[in-house]
Amino acid sequence: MGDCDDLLHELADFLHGELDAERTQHLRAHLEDCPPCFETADFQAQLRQVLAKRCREEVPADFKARVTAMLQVPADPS
Amino acid sequence: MADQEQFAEQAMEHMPALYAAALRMTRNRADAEDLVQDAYLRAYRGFGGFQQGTNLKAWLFRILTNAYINTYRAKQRRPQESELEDVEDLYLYHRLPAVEAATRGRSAESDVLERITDEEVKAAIEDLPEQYRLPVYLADVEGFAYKEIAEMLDIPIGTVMSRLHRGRKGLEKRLHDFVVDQHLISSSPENG
Repeated sequence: MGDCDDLLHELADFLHGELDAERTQHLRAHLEDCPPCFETADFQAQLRQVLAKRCREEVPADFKARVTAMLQVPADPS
Repeated sequence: MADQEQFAEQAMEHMPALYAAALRMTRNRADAEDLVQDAYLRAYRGFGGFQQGTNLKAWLFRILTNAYINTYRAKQRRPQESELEDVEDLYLYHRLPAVEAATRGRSAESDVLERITDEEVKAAIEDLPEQYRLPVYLADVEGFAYKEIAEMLDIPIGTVMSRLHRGRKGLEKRLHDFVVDQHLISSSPENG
């Protein structure tokens, strides 16, 4: 299945929205017809979400205050 | 100074993203704070050159990335430019059956992903050699377009794509190894 190989090779670029309209349409059509590829794509899409979700950080309050002061944000009038 | 007052207002909302990125770049809090502070100062001074209506976050990330490459990393005297072992496509996905079997069916595919902790994802990213770590972080954590990443890192878009291709696989291998450790699965190197 040449289509499957093509799809898997370009899957990450596809999920990132980096393929041109023609390739995007081609891969989307294939995904609709090919359950194994659809599952693969679904997993990779979830993986990407996990990456983004798991990398958040709390900015230390004192650091944030320091930068804010550095930028001379007008003081609260109170 | 209307411009610069505006700057603080608009730019501070991006600090969590910049700080998280700086932590993954420098791998420690003190350096990450220095780097972010440096980037904000540069951005503040250069805000006149920022075109209102364009992407402020991408502009700030470009400054951060530049500050990291030109200042922070330059001080480090050639850090580890280690190569990344090349592994097969979809490294993690192809090993899910083994993971599921070893946990006696308790891990559906999505459960495997849910079990990966924040600390494991962060460590997996930080383990990547820098030339892969930055593109992967900027693309897959921050969601920047390849073209934006090429501009930030000042490398051709084809280079961004090849580093992403390899870096993503390397990241999946690390995540897989964490999952394996969690479940004490014996992996068989022969079967790859």
